[in-house]
Amino acid sequence: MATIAISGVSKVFQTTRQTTLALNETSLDIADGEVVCVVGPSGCGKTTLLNLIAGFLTPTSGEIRVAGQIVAGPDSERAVVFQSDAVFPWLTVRDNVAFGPRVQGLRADDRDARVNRYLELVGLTDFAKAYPKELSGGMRKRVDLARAYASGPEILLLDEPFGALDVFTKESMWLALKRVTAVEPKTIVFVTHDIEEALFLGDRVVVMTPRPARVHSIVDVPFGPQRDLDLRAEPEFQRMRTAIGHTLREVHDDAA
Amino acid sequence: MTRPDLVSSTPASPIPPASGTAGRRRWQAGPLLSVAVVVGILVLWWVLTTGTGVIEPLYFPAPESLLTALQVLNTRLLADAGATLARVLISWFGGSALGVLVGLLMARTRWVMYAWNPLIEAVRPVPPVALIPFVILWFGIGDDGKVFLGALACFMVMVVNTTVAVTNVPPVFLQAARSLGASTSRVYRSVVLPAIVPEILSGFRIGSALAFAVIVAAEFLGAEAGIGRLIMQASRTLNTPVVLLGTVVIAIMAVLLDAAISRLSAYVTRWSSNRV
Repeated sequence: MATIAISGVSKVFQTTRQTTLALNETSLDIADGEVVCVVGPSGCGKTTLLNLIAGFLTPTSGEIRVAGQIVAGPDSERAVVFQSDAVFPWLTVRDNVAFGPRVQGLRADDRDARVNRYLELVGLTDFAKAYPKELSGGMRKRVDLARAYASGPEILLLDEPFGALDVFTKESMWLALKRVTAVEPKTIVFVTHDIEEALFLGDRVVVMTPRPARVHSIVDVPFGPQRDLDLRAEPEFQRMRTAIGHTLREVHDDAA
Repeated sequence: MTRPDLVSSTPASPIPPASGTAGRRRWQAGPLLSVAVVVGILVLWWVLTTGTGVIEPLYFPAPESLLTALQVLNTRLLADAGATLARVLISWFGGSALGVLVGLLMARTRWVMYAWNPLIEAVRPVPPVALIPFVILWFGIGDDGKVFLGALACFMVMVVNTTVAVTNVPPVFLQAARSLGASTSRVYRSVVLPAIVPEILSGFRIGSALAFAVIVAAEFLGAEAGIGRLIMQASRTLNTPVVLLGTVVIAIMAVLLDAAISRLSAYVTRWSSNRV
């Protein structure tokens, strides 16, 4: 686990035709072991923020520190689960999960132990030898999650990972993620446009403005670590969902 | 729709193999029809030539004359076929390997791209067959020139195929690998190379067909041995059964090589979901 300190970060994308300010003077501090969900209208720059933390992009100004160190490029301390299918199709489930440990040069028996542990944790032990094409979308996401965990990161960055899944698969993925993080907590940044998802999973929900994105407001989620799917029917949950929905519509209308 | 992820942590069975096979199995008559068409064409061939004499043997030989030609040629046909096949295999293998290598370097390093690209773009549109006069001038009518020409054709296909394949690797794979701790060179070895295998293999198939075409054409214009030379010699004496026999032998060799490559590629890319 590690803290993330984002201070005054802007990101400008420059093409020959136009200059786009994707992220404007964004600051956010994330505590050790905290789950922060970032919500905002699509195309607002949430993914840009995540890519900056991951090190795929460099800030135009400002800085991002992870555990006190300035982020300079991708690193195995920050694992990413993407929205699109990023499981390597040419590797079996087992070899996918073993990818991180292997490229980091772990000894074979340590590697096997780690791979077995995370396959078990996401419930895919029986499918270790399968190729990704033989799995459903939800199962591939589990492989992705296990692979991210097996690389031994301090931080988990999730970029709308369940956005392409149907609602039942999505719910079961929420529970799977909860189960894994309960066993092995990580500092998590979870980008989504689904308010329900953000409230169900997050310790805090960060509401972003439309492009150029910055932090509009931060909502503390009071439901504690033990949550089940029925939580969504609670009046408090409903109230918060409505409130965040209103905020999002307001910031959206201001920009439009 | 199946919902293997619903609540329980143990996922249900994997998705059954593509429905295409089931569809094919349902229509049992398919292969039978194919066989019927082939047999029908053979019978028609015999009827039009030997049977009724509608087609003169000079324009299209009768089936029996092919067998006669086969008996007369005997080991010479084998020698010619062997010579052609050897040239094809060597040029195909060498040219493709070099093409993949250069393609990888071009995709990897900017200056290699800038250095090679004009050369490749200049030579690529030229049909290799058009270079035969020069090749005969440079290499004579021996094996070297033909192998060179076949290799050049395969090389061009593979360079282009490889550079395109590398740019087609989804960026998300590269990002994932980097964030899992892979160095840039490791990403190349463990992600880019396996990801482009299907496209490389389809390039191999195109290349093998091209190598046959180019090498047989080169043999037409002069060779000590080879099916192309056999055909050309026979056509000068209007020996059409041998011409047709040569053509059939080329077709058989090309089909066998293509089948071998496609078997290999089916095994190597068994992970690929868009495999046919």
